[in-house]
Amino acid sequence: MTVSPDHTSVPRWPDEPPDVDPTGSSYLVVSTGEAGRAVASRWTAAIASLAKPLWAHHDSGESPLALDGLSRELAAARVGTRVMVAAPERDVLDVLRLARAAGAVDAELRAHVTPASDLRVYCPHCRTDTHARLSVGDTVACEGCHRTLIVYHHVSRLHGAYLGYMVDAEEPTT
Amino acid sequence: MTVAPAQPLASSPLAPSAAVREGWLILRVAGVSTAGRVRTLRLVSLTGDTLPSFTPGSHIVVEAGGRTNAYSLTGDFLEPIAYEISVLRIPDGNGGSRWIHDDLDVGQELSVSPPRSAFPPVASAQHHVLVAGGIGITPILSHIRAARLYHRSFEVIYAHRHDAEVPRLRELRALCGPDRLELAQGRAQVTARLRKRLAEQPLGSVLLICGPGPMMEATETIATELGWPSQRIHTERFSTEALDPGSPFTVKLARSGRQLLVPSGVSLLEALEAAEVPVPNLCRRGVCGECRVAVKAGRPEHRDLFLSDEERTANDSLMCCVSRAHDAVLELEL
Repeated sequence: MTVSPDHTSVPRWPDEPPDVDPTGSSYLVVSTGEAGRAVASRWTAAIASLAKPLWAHHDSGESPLALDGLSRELAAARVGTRVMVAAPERDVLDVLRLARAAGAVDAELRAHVTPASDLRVYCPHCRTDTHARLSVGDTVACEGCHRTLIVYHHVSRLHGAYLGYMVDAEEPTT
Repeated sequence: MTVAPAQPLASSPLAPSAAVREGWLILRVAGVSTAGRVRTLRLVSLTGDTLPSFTPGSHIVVEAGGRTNAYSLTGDFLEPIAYEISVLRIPDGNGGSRWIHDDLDVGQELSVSPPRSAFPPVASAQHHVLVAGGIGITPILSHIRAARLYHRSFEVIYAHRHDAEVPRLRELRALCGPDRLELAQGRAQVTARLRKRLAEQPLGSVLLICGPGPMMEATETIATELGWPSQRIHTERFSTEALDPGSPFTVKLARSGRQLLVPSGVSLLEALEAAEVPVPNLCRRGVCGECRVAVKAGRPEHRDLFLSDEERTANDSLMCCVSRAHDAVLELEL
């Protein structure tokens, strides 16, 4: 696709992990995978040196990120909380989605995306999510309705998913 | 071709120089009540129609005895039958509040701007913490009405001085009920209440502050120390503090190529007016944003309360009623 990435909602993540925002009053840190763990452990060390409350959660990344602990923390969170996540993109989008739904604003969120993960593709025809190793422009069979979806350069922050839509709607069915 | 004679102004108590501005409203004073140093006015349309609705936190600019002052609207905001403002008497101010207190009576007509919104509620917020100091309660009153109407979560922390009467207190108590209003008297108590309450607000809360400058700064400092990002903090400033006269500088007008000297003690706006370079303006004290002028070269010394931090550092515009120049020469797009 020839659309400039500047004009899409596909997130452009910085190459280097962001630093800990020292103005926070407490911190929630989530990581998945080995690359995520390495970044998160630098963050938690920095937070420990600030002597501020910290809650941290790590998943291996082999199965989908468990979000119930983070959801509980966010439900009880006070203004002053900062949320940090180091993980593949799909998990980052999930954590940011939950944090925003709990009321967090951009200034309270820091993310680092580690390489390679499945994309979550949302099918607006049947509202099912499909997970697969994909890039924007690829096609995939929807796990819900089996339509052929093209992964579009639109990412919903609230849903944490790429939009897919039926790419062969005007082809005669065989 | 005949030309219809201009409509004479409705019998106006204003000075003859006070022509009706385009888009402004002529309202009649339907009621006044005075409590201590605060006078509350009810303003209605001459026809009995409802007045334009406004966003909670909005203000109107009122022509008061030849002066224009901004006052927050405190009453109902949806198709109101009256606009309500509360005016604190400022003995050594520019005279507008004294005129409203001493010279204005029921039945007189006033020229007022349409409502202008610069301090709106945050529709996405999960909770509003409304902090008011003294007469700064006025915009908060309409925020409380909106929160009640739309069932939004809110609480009010109202700071007042030991010696002064508390404006609009009875009405405030009735609107808030027993659990949503905290009064705090004097600096130590206010600081203690803010430290406690701002530490325990749910993520998704916003803070709205209106009051005297030092009280607003103290509140912002406490919030920042407790980790509130600036995106969550909204302020409505009203300033009666006098600005220092400033240093003289030269202003260059890019279009005409003219140069004017702005002496110390004379505002840039006054210098432009004296040179017959008209600039739209209203409040003349850096609050309303009307007299914004584009800057072509030179660094402005921003002294207004209108521009955001980003707009300030961009240095490409200034409020010519109060702001001056850091450099000896300032070039304007005029």
